[in-house]
Amino acid sequence: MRKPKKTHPPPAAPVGQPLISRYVLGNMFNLLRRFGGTIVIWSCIAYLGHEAREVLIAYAGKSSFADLTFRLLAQVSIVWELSLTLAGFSVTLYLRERNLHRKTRERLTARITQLELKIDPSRTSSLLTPEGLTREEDR
Amino acid sequence: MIGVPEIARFLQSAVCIALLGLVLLKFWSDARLDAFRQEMFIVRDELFDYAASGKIEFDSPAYRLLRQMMNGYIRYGHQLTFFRIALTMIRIRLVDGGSVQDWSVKWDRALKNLHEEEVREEMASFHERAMQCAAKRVVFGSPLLIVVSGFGVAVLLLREGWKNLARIFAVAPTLTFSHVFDPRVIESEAAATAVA
Repeated sequence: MRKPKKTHPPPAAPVGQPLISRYVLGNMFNLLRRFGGTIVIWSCIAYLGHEAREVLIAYAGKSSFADLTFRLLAQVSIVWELSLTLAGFSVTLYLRERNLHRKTRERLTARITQLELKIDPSRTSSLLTPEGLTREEDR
Repeated sequence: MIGVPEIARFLQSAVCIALLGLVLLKFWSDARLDAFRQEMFIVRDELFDYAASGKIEFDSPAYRLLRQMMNGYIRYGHQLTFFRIALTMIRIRLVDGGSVQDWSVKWDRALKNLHEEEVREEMASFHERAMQCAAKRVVFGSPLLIVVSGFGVAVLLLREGWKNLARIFAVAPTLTFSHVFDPRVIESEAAATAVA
């Protein structure tokens, strides 16, 4: 009987450079995806802050602080004050309603889940918090 | 020399821009996310009621897959933005070496295995509604996609006329979404994250 021919295992797939580069690239995209928006927003805020600083530096030493404050307040129009007050009220109302909505969700979620589990014991969840918000680890 | 009126106007503008930024980037964004999740919860609840009525088994692969996808959309709804999806698409092309469509393949198979035509149609309709929710969230969250969607509406109006106006406005975000991105990849990603 012929001895079975010894077979060699196929050479391992080249690991190293391509895998590492893919890993790094993948992680770079994940980081960019996660923090890209925040970086853009804060860059804009930093730029606006820088511009405001330039304006204030140009005005420094030309007038006393008390005098400037007084003249600035004299420039504020009643329309602007009213607009700001109305906007403030609207935002406060929105926040109040949003909190009430969250509390209602929190109150009802457990009950609905319990009832649904009776009908479908293998029920799957969206894994939000009881208030219906994104969990910290999912951000 | 900069005068006091100019400084006053500058400060007023700065306060207004800051408040507008806060409203648009925080409150408006939170409200849109809540509305999206609410809409998806409605579709998911209706799907549950449909299964509870005995039309489809809770263990049916079609039911389980659809619920899994909806759970993924709800859980990661905050990541459903043009910027993040575009980066995901680029990552899949460059890093993963092709498109990932596991969920879509399984869904097509599960839908084919449903024996009753009526149930199949109903499940496809639930799927379409979930897709519409996701498309609306992505399209209306991006100024660029809103413009593209506007062009889509104009083209559809020319093709179908004024009679189907309501349908055109309902379909436009989904059409825009599916032309810009591959919805099968997004669905697979959503389903994969739901169980992760």
